[in-house]
Amino acid sequence: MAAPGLYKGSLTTIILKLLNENGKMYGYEITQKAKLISNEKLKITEGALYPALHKLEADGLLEAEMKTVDNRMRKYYKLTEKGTKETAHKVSELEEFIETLQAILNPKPSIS
Amino acid sequence: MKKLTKENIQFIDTYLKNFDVIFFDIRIEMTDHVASEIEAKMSRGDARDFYDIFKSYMVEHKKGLLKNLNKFKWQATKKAFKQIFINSYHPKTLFFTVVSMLCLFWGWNFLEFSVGYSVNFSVSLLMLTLFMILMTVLKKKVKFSVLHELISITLILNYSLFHYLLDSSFMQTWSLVCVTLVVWFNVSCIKSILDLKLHYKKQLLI
Repeated sequence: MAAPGLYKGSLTTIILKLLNENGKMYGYEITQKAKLISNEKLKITEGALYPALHKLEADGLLEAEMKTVDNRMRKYYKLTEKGTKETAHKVSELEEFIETLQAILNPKPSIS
Repeated sequence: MKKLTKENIQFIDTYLKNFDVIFFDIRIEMTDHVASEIEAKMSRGDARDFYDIFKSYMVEHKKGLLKNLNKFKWQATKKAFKQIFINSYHPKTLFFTVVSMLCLFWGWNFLEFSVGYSVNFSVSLLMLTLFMILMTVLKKKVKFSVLHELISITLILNYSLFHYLLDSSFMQTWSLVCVTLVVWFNVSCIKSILDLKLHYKKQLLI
């Protein structure tokens, strides 16, 4: 399993991507989905998740909706229009980063 | 899927409140997260009762849950400042600032106060009124993070203005400018507070 620090900078992109694909989600659901898709390699802690969600909401990329579910209130997040545009931008940024890393870690032999 | 009872949810909520998670809007999300995790454990076959599962969950996760309270508070403070700034150039804020200044001018002329006395009197009266209203809101049992920070900012800045600006030579020379700025700032704060109260009422269904 990769060190948690390696995922730190990508958390925002991961959250945006999950919400882009799944519509409306609540905090716990986001952590479980990330865990499921990554085969339990990515475990987002509540200490990391909620500050990230609140920052995205404050920046206007997410909007929240409260619902009463199972004897308590639950906060659902979904992307705003600005958030949808930003998701595409962040995902392509991360893909470029991964390509760069792969080029460094697995350099193609040059013919000289 | 096993569901927790209202009493279980209330227990989690009270526990978090006792650990200084005083803001309602932050606490409901944490309560939901903890409750969802416990329900998931019960559904996966954990046969212990709610209190035992809750205890072992908190032993493992309490530090992480409470670690970021200061981050939440700082984000709430930033949101509060942003709200005041955005509302400072809202047409309603500008309108009510002008109306307030016209009322003050009329009041000064009607009561035949001198300019210096008028300024001190008006500013003191405004701050005292605002102080009493805001303390009433702050004393409410249910606290909301951004609203709480917004009210605190309003009180602290007004107190600073009152304490440092009122008797200063700057205030004597630029009295009307100062009063206009104080009124403008406070109208923006009041609008922000009212907007936020409405937002929380709508979002949190209270």
